Amino acid sequence: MKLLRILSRVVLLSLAAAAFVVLTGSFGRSARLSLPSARWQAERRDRQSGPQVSDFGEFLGAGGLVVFWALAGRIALRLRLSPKPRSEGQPVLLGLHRLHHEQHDARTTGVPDTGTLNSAKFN
Amino acid sequence: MTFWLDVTLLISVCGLQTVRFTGLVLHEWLGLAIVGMALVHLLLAWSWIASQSRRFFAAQSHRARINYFLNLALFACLTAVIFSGILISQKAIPALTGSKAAPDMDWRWDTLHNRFSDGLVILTGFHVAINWDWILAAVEKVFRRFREGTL
Repeated sequence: MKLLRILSRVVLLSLAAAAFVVLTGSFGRSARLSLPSARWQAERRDRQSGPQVSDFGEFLGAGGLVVFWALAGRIALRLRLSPKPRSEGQPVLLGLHRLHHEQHDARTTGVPDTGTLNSAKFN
Repeated sequence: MTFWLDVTLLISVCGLQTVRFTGLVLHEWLGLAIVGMALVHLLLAWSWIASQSRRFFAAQSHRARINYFLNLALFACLTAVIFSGILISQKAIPALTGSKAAPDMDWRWDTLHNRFSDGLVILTGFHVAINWDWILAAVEKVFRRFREGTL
């Protein structure tokens, strides 16, 4: 049963991938691209089959690029998606002082003011 | 397991950007291996994929919506990179199919392969950014286990 569930998920993912392959194929056939320069072509043709440890710096550079975009994304997502709440940096007014006075007034006049209690909670 | 798979995926994406460092043979095989790694990565995140897809038309936070589209774009970009890579493959695909590699490069697909892979790096960075809190928590957990000697 579990295997069947996993297989159905794999099929779903494969279908989604196939849809993107079709889209990529039609985009690739219709896109207007200029041929790369002769120097670039020569460079691409002469690529080594085996690894070149001396080019490890290039690998670090690629890692740095991912880190750069991660930081850029982090900054952008923070600024755009998690704006500071409006109340941040402002004192929260509990209205206790006013509440105390109104309770005192209610005691002297005999009229309880529940509305003030509720509004004080949401201040 | 999820954490280590994700670390391997991230290192692989960085490695795939540097054909000179890995060499063409390792580049192409690693590119094919990433299909399996991404598949497992997606299967492990299936509950999130299923719940977010179901809630797609419901009211969601901007963050959840952007995260969904970002992941979808990443999946599309990865598919495009692998597909274009297969089309221009000179080592791995000929070895698998027993055919001869094309005498000259298909420059159209080579150019597209490069552009898609540039996009993949950007989207990977954003993917890391949006899951930053999860990554930090996972790293802390791994370090804690390492200190306790249970790893």
